[in-house]
This record gives sequence, C-alpha cells and structure tokens, in this order.
Amino acid sequence: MLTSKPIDSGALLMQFTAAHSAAGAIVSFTGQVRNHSAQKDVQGEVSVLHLQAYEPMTSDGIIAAQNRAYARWPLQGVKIVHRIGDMKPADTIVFVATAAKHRRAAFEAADFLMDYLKTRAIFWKKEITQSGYIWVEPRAQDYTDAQRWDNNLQYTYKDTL
Amino acid sequence: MVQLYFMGRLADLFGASLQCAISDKGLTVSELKRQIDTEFKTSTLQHASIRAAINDSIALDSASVNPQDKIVFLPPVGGG
Repeated sequence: MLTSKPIDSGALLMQFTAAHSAAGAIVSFTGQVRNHSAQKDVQGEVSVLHLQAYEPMTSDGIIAAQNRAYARWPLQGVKIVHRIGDMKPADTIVFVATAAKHRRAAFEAADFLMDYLKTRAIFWKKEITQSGYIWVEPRAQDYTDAQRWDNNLQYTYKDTL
Repeated sequence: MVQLYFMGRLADLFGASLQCAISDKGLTVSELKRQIDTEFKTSTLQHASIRAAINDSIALDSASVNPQDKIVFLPPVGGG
C-alpha cells in the first residue's frame, strides 16, 4: 500500500481490472506531483516533494478508511497505492481504484478515499525548492471536500443507475 | 528512559528522535510536553494541534507515560 518506488498506474489499473472482470464499473484516480508550490510565499519550482508516513499508523488509517468505503458503498474491490519518500514533479504520488456493479458507487467511493488521503491520512509533506523547503498543510478546500462525507451519512448511491 | 520520535516539521526543531529520562512514577503526556519544551526553550509542543501517540495509539494529554513507552509527537498532517 505504501511504496518508496515509482508507481506505474497503468499497470496497476490493468491488474485491478483483470481481478474484477465481473464489475460493471471501474474508476481510477492518479495523483501527480505538481511542479509549482501550493504555498503563496514560495517562489520557484518544486524540485523534490518529500512525503513522510508513520507506520503502522498511516497504513492502519488507510485500511480503516477503506473499510468505511466498503461499509458505505456496494464495492467489489478497492486498491490504494501511495508513494512515500522523495518524488519529482510529474511522478505519481497516489493511485486509487474502485470496482462496483454500477458507476455511481465506484465514482463516489474513489472520491471519498481521495478526500481521506488528502486531509486525514497520516502523512507529512515537504516541498523543496531552490529557495529552501516548506512543510505543507492541506488547503481549506481540501478540508471542505472531506467534510462533504461527514454531513451526508446516507447512501447517495442508487442501484438503478 | 522513554524513546521519543518527532514527525514532520517537529523534527527540524527537536531532531528525529531522542531519549528522555523520566521519573519512575511516570508522568502525563502534558507534563512530558512541558519537560521537552523547557529543555529546548520553546512552547511548540504546547500547541493544541500537536498530538502524541503512545506505543502507536493516539493519546490524550492526560494519558500516562511510563518508562519503556515509545512516544511519537505528530504535527497536523499534510495530506498525501
């Protein structure tokens, strides 16, 4: 689930699709390292993004989020691979895939899992630029996105879709 | 001795890990935070956003720390 090696999201998606050939819907999300800092006061391009996890708490938290997704949507499969350590711009930082009978459950569960990973997962992120480095915290929008799932505990999924 | 670990930006100030002598009677997380801050002449760990984990479980400030425990100080997470 956590890896310090490059993530090949194309290969992961092929494996996931093959493993869930009976699913009517497969959704995948690939997150890439941006080359521009998200911080207003940082000039210059990001040369390295460093992501620190704390095991076993980081993996335990991701597994718990995955279990919440299984409890909430009728999923046939979930795959999460997250990079840690040093990355360069355009490197894949995260791959999330979900499989379900119908598309809405797959889309919503992938969205829910990404919101968890962006705000609540136990990671610390350091952007390194020519002018130094800065520890990055989630944007206000990331927290607002994550709260959507707290305020809507009922299924939005409809089996007829 | 308790083994202390500092994650994220906290490691810039305290180092990634250190050992700390505590009384045999133990102390609370809150008392341990004060002890470390005093040693480093800072108030960083007093901030409410800094959480502590005892032996890999998140602990309240009132939780007891005993010799042989592994304590991790966690600043707000940065997201993946």
